[in-house]
Amino acid sequence: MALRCSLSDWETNKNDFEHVIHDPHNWNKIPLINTIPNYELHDHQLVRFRGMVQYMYNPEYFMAQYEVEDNSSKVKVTRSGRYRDVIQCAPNEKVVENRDQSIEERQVFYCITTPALNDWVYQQEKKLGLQQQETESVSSKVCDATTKRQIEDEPMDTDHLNQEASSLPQISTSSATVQEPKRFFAGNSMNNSGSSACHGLSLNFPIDGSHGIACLVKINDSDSLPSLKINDLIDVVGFLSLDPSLAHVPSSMGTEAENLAENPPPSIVPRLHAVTLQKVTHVNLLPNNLDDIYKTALKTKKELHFVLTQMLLGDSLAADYLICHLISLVYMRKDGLALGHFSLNLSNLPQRPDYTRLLYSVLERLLPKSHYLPMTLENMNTLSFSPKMDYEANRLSSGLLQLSDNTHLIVDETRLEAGKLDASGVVNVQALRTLITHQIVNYDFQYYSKPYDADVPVLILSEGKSLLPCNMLVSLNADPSCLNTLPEIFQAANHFLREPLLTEIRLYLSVMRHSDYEFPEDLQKQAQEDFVQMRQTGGQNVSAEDLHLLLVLARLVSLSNGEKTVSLDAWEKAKRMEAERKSRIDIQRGRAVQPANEP
Amino acid sequence: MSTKTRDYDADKEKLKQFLKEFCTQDDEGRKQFKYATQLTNLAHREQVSLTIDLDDLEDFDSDLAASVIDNTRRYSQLVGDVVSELLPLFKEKEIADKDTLDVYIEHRILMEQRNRRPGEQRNPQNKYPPELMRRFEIYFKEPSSMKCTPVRMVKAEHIGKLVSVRGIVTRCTEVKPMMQVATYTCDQCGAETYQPVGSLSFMPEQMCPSDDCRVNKAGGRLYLQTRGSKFIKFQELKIQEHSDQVPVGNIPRSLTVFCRGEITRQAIPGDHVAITGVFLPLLKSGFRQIAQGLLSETYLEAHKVAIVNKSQDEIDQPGEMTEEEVQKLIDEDFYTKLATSIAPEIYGHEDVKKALLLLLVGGVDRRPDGMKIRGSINICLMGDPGVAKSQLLSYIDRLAPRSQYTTGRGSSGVGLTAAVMKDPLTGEMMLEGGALVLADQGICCIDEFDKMADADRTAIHEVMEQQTISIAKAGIMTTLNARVSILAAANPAYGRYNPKRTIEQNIQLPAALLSRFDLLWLIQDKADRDNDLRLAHHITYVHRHSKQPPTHIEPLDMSLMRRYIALCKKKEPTIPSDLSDHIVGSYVEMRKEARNSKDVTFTSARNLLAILRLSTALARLRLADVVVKDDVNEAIRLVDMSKDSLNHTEETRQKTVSVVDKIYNLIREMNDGGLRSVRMDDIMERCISKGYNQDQVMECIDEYEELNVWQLNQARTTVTFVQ
Repeated sequence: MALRCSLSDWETNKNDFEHVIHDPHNWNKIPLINTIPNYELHDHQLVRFRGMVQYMYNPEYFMAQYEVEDNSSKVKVTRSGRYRDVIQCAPNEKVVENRDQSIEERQVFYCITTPALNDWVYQQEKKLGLQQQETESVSSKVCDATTKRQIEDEPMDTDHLNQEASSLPQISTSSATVQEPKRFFAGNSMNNSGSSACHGLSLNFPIDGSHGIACLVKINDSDSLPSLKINDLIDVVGFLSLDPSLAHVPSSMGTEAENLAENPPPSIVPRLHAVTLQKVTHVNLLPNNLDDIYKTALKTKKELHFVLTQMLLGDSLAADYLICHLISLVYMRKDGLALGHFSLNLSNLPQRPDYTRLLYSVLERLLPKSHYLPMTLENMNTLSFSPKMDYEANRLSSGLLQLSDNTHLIVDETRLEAGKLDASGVVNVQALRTLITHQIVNYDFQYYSKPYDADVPVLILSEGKSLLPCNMLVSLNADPSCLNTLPEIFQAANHFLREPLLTEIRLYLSVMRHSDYEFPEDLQKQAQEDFVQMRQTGGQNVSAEDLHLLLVLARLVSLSNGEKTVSLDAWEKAKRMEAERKSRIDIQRGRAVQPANEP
Repeated sequence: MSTKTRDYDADKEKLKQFLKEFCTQDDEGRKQFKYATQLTNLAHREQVSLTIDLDDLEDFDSDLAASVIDNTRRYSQLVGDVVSELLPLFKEKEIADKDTLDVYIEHRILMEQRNRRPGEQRNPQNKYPPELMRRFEIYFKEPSSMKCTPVRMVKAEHIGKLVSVRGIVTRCTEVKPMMQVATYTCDQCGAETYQPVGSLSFMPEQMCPSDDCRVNKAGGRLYLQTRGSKFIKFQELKIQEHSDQVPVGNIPRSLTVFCRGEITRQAIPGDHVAITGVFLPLLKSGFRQIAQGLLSETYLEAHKVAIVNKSQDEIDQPGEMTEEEVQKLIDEDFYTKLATSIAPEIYGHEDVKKALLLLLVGGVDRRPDGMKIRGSINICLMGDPGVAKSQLLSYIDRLAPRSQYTTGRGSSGVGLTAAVMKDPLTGEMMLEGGALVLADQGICCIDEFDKMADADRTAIHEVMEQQTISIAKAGIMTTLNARVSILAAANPAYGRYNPKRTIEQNIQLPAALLSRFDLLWLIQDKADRDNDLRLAHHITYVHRHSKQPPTHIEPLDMSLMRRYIALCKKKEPTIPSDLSDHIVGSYVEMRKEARNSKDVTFTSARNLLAILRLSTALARLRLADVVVKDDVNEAIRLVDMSKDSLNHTEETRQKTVSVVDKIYNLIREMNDGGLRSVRMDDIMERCISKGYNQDQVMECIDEYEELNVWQLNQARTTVTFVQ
């Protein structure tokens, strides 16, 4: 059942629509422009958009009310400028010039499809759109223009909606044949950004995706809606504005480039006048009742652990760490300290060129947002990582690291070869380091650089210890027998990860990441005692950083079990994990030192 | 709309009165007619812009000043009219024509006088527009009570009002002539037509509107006369808000500024500016254009553009502290309280923070007979990476009212000291101050002190003792003041502080430079049960409650600290003579100790001065006029503690370096000549003279032989090194 409402309907009958639209349960009935080709959209249509705020323009000033006079009858009509970009004025009418026009301001945001969105999420969304269209075509045959009344008469069937939501992921995998593979290399996808390239206008995606669209979201009542930050994910409902005249707004100020950036052709970048919006913390579709997920958490974890252990060549410890990494989240920021980030460095990987690729292909199916970055010299030297302000065009040129929260970045250091890192490469490595250690990306505003908070868990795959700093260095203890059957293992893993287990794991990861947690008082005491103990025995090698990490690990261990309170068991387990991890590193180091002494 | 109902004629009269009569009393009680004198200058074309200080207007008529702020554009026209009316009255002498436009205007005036017949109906377009005749510019200066509006807060409600904003210039166009009045002549009747231009573009007139042409239907075409038209300098700036005004996670906003006339060429990209101006929507000429009709662009019509720097920015904030506030602040433990309020997010390091507090307050300068003894305190923080040195530095940088933060590898070519630059346009040589010069009378925080360029390092010797910088570059020889306190942070050369080496080796800075620091702190990360427990508590608390644990001392906020420190700096405490003995005694004691216990630091006369500086700073902190014994004791304690932080590692060194290793080192030294073998007798002789016995030497030789470092021959007479 599609929800239809044109701008004129809204203006005449605002109250009726308002409560319908402001209820997020009805949102699934609104066409989602992410998945609908734009030739099917029309001006002033009520649509929905999901994406990320990429840039904020200066506020726009517009006439909230103006008078139009008919040339022949001299009748004056007052019209509203809200939710519109273009004055409504027929050829036989003229606008009454009036100095006291009420000028209002609205916020303008440049939004893009969530970068690094994995294909299964896109298919989820697309499926939703397709279902809508089907029902729409049926219903439009039955009752053409009366849809509007129907909506008002029928109470919303929320149960039905939930069913829809929960049945979706199944469909997404069954339609795997139509899946377009997500781009692997950000570097060579230039030829892919077809529509954008031919207009001489880059849509400014941090990562070029195949389904990317951009959209200018204009917000009239910025006070009543949540305040937006850059890189926020939003789900916005509003009226589309596609008037082609918007592309040629002659401006007396500013350069050509600036004009193009501020007024891109609406056929490529549609305008969306927001009626309501909400911030989104995760892109996965969740059922309403999360209790079941907590109940089955242990079971799901076991299954996931089993798969990951296989993938990590029989290393159970590394699988434990990987699960913790997959549900990590920066849960607190204070005075420049980001707590909770859990970057992982899997080192000592088998020297097989296809291994990292295979590993990512599985992770990609589990995570809603992830990006695989082969850390080749070419990529490091040519890609731009930090966003940079372009004053010529007055917009923020996006960089690879402009990612929304909880987007996983998988850095493949096995691709790195010896060679020369040029100036921009050094800057890029630096940006990556800052991101990993502080979860901050410095945006370059030329006259100053401004740090923006990020929450991007970074997984580094490397042969030796990575050149990037990392919270956790886990040296992989590969079972040599697994190496021979590598392709078979991944085939089996992919086979094992099928419905309904796949959906369960996806939901499990999303829910556990955002779960609340508690750290009980008695455990705090225990932790303090343990830390002092560690300092006494370990001396200088044990620092405050270790305690931070241990606490984060304990939290993640208990969350991965579906427990909202950190238990003593989880704490002990975290300590055991750390002890084993460190002993492996020592062994590694011992091995490395040994040969040097022999000659 | 209150402005609608205002009686502009009455306001005009008031303005006239204000301009003519406003006066201030100077020191000798004579009246200074501030605006009247300026009007005379304007009349004589010796001055172009007339700036009306709204503070003055407020004294005269506060209601009028308020309406000027509300509707600035209207009033600047009004003042313009008033001034044009008044100017002839102020003309005291005939003036020579300055440019062609003057000649032109003179001709028109003559012509008008000749042509005018009483009661004649005149074409309003043919009347000379006031903009053409006017050779002055009117600007308003914001009242001092007006606060800066953040760029972000300039909103629709500010349209038409005077606002004052701050930001960084990100773009500025070239200064271009902009047409203010277009003058046309008709090819048929020769009549002149004028067209005032208000917006950025204009539609030229085509047909002659004069009576001759209209009545006769001659169809005279108009031609633009560039000589007769009036142009004005025009420049467009774009400013962007300061990074600290941007809310977390937002993009900095920007604002377009139009500068006309005398306001142009005031700023270049990168400058920090304060701009006062009128926020206006841009008037469109072609109103029919559909998309434009609904949206309007806005700009700020500048009335004042001033370049500000960071320190000025800060100075106008704090007010004097009241007696009451001071009383509230000073309680039992306020010294500790102030110290812990420095960088409260950094845990522990109480003595370091106390030292930093004294650095902020500073000692008293002395100038006995031309010799200058600095009062500013220099501190160097050394230590392992990751012990929050940089955080301490940046906190001090934020707290100090005047400070510069750089790294030893200063990012610009100017570096730390100063550079002579050649202006690319004029070819003039200019002196550009580096961080040390800019931080004059303040604090210069230098991170990565050890990585400083050699040229800067030599200059810093002078700065740290003489508090000046001498420049002899490109024909410019001068001495600049650099009365700064230096707060440096240095990383050990080998990653971690190596207690087995001396400070110079660890930091790789010459002793001459290190001795100039009043206090050298080594911040180290050491296992200590009590400390660890408190640290663990701190961390676990943060993880549990997502906030900093409450401390028994509530940290003071920054502005209060700033104001208190400003108050402290006003005091000039003296050291009473009866304390001299005590100080001298302590110093002698210190020297003695240094001699006895192989000191790694440099105990010299400079330490005595350091104690004096620290104790005067302590007295300042108490807001006292006299230094007391306790101040001196605390100063000595701090110096001792700072030495301790270095010497502490010395003790561990004694333990770690075993006797065997020492003997090994001795033997190695004997081998320095390049010989591959050393005679056993020589070794014995050398070692015994150093105070080791035969058994120890043999133990060493056996041990190292096992390690395959050297070999002892069968007869046990020579030791041969294995290559």
